[in-house]
Formats: sequence, C-alpha cells, structure tokens
Amino acid sequence: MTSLVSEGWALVKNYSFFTNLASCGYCEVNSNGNKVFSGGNGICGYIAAGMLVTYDSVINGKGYISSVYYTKNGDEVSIKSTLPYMLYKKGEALGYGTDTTSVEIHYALKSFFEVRNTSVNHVSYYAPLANNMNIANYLCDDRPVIWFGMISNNSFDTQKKISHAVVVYGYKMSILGQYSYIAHFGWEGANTVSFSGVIGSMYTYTY
Amino acid sequence: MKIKSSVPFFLELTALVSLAMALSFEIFAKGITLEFPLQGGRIDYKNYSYFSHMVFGYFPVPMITGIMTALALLLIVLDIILKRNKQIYKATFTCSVLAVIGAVLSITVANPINICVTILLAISGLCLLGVGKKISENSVVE
Repeated sequence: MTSLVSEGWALVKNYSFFTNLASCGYCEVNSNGNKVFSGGNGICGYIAAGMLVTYDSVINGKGYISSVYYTKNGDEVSIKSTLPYMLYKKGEALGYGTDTTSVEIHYALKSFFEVRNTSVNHVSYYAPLANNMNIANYLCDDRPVIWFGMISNNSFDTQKKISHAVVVYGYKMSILGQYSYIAHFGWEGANTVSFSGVIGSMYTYTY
Repeated sequence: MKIKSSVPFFLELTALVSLAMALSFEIFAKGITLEFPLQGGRIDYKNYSYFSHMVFGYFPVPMITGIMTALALLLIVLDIILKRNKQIYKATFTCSVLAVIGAVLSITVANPINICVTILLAISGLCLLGVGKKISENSVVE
C-alpha cells in the first residue's frame, strides 16, 4: 500500500478500501434481465457505483447500504453481487439497459438515494467538462470518481481500446502533463490497475 | 465576395452528395463499435450510431465528426444558395477537414460502415479542395 504513495500517486485518503477490496460484487446480466456470473452483458457502471456507495457506507459511516450487501472482516470488505444488481434494477426501472454512461448512473443512484431519503450532490459530466483536471480536483477532495472512457493501455492485461467504467481513486501527472490513473477495474482481483485513455464522461457525488 | 460561376458546379454537388450520404450513414447506421471488456478477458461488442450518447459518454470523437459533417452539409447548401461565398466556402472546407480528421481518429472504434463514412468524407474534402483551387484561380484572374 505504501508503495502506491512512493510511486508518486496522489490518492484519496482511504484508498486502502479499494486496494483491500476482496470482492467488488462482479456479476453480469443476461438477456432476460437476470443476474449471471458469466455469459451475460457487462454492467461495469453499476459495479463501479456499488463500490462508490459501499466506500462511503463502510469508510465514511454514511450508512447508505445495510450489511446485507457486503461483509467486513477487519480491513477486508467483500461487496455482494446483489448490490450492483439492485442498482441495475433501479436503472432498468428508469428504462436503461446494461450499458451506462455517467447520466444513467446519475439517475439510477438518484433513485437509490431517494428511497433512502438521503440527499447528495450528483456530479455527472460529459467531455469536455469531464476532464483530467476536474477528476484530479475531486480526487484531491477525497472523492473517488467513476471514469467512463476508452482505455488505451492498462497494467492488468493486454487489452487495448476498451470502453470501460472504472472507479478511479488516484492519479499521477507526468512532466509532459499526461495523466494516468489508478483504479479498481470492477473485476475480481483488478484492485490496483494503472491506466491511461480518453475520457468520455465522469460521475461522483458529494455530500 | 461573390465568386464567378465558372467554379465547376459538379465538384460542389459531389461534395454535397458525399456529405449527405456520410451524414445519413452516421445517423441511421451503427458505424461505431464499442468493446466492453468482461471479467476473464471476454469482450462484449456493441454497435452504436455516431450520434448515440453512449458513444459520446465513452469516446467523444465520433459525435464531433457527426456534428462537423452536419455543419459542412448545412454550409455547402448555404454556399450554393448564396452562389459561392468565399467566407462560407472557407467555413465549409474547415468543417469538412475536421470531419475527415475525426473519422480517421474514429477508426479505432471502426466497423465497415465507419470505413464508408471516412471514404465519403474524404471524397467531399477532395471535391471542396478542388472548388477552393478554382476559387483562387478566379480570384487571380479578377
């Protein structure tokens, strides 16, 4: 964990939540709208949203979700797949599918918070308002950000030009002003993935 | 400044038709393929139109290409109506070049429709370049 700091990453205060996350609740949704673990459509946006609300519930004591949706053993947290699936169902009720940008996640989480009588400030931007400087500002304010865009390279595997939604919890800027990020990729075991790419939209919330 | 009508009309017409075809492909065909990765190295391929907000939410370049194509088409129509205005021609050509650049950059998320769009935009760009040459020749004569 200290190695991330020594590598020069600017991180959110409780980044260890993401680096220690035992399970992100990965699941997929099949054509009938049922939860499956393989062979369905990806719901990366909802998985990322699930991590964001769990982060605030566990680390910041916000109590947005009950312990039905996660388990906690010491520093190790496991999100159950019921959480992203529940968020997907919120989106589905609003007419959204499995594919999401910041707007779909914004309204799915708005619906999620409304049920809980909780008010948060949703921050949902498309490019050019969704940009590196804006993300860096939110990270400096201790807010992890859901990054939607085209990833050109990443440290987890050799896939290139993938469109993905990930939870960014740290960034680094090179001497030439190029940004790279460290994120949880929304797959089991992909807790500490550094990447760079073209951003399309971003989502976070403040309270 | 009005340009003499000696500028070949067919070049402008070809550019207009190419732009119209490119725009209709951009709107009605699903020319952009996004690759959504799944756990275990699997990929979920999804096709979208250039103007889909989903494309803009992940890779804004194709939508910018689409907007530039629409603007170039609008301006070329205006140029024909106003009997070839030099300023409008310059704006049309700029939009057309930007659309070609966008289409080339969009090749990273391309499928065969995207290739057609790029070719059509390149044809329109070349035709507009030809129109530009004629305009400069006429200006020199004047």
